[in-house]
Amino acid sequence: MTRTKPILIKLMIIFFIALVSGQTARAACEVSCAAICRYTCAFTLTGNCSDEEAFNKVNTCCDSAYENTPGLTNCGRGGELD
Amino acid sequence: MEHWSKRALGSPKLRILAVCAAVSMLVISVAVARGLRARSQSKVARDALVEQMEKAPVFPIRIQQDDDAPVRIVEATVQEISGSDYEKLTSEKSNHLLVVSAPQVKMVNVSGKTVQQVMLVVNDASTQQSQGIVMKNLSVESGSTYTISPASFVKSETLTAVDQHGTVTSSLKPPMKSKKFWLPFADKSQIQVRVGIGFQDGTTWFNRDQRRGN
Repeated sequence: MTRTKPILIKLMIIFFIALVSGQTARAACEVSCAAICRYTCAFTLTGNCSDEEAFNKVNTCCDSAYENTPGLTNCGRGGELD
Repeated sequence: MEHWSKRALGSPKLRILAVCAAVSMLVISVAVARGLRARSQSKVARDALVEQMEKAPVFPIRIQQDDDAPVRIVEATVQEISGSDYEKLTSEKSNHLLVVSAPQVKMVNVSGKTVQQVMLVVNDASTQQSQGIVMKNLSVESGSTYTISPASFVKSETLTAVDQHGTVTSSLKPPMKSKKFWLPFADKSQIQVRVGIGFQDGTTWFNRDQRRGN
């Protein structure tokens, strides 16, 4: 019992480290973006992260791009409702 | 004046100089005219390519989506041209023999909620490179269809020209002449698309394997 406890703790630590590093590896992505028109923005993802994580980064990047791109026009073509 | 010119041209050195200047002017004029002609011929070739591309066949690409996706991609296609046609169209070099366009993606909102934001991710399965487009401030009601076209990836540009009579004409640059219209991915069979959705009520949706921590 006294020997199994430290082994269990070690295993738990290893599991925790693996979990955290796995999460970090997945979340390590970079986004670059450019505003195309008002409210439409193109982006490139480098690295590995889920779409949910990318979504927040893309929005931050694009909001900044909209602010810093002068003379953006309304999107006249492209995404269309049928 | 006449007296001066007669006297000036009477000198053999100046006469040679005048002949050289006239010949140089002639050579320069011919070169400029040829350059202009070549440029207009190249423009004609590019416009023919634009027309050809508009009629080019489309190829379906892979769609990544869960069975219960609230916004269903019903069609995703690309077009493909040769590397040399790409160079003629965009005036940019390509490392690929074939170049693939950005996708046309048609989706239907079956969520029962209004979609406000669409993030389209275009992924190359062979290299795991991704790029995409995000569209905000939408109002796609439940039951509606929404289409993202390759032109959505291109910033609108106006081309303005002045002819020899001084007439100014402006036209929208065809989006396929922009390199942004084309993907940097070599093989269309490796291209896949998926969406992330933002609803008007503030909630979001992603494929299960694309949620945080997966």
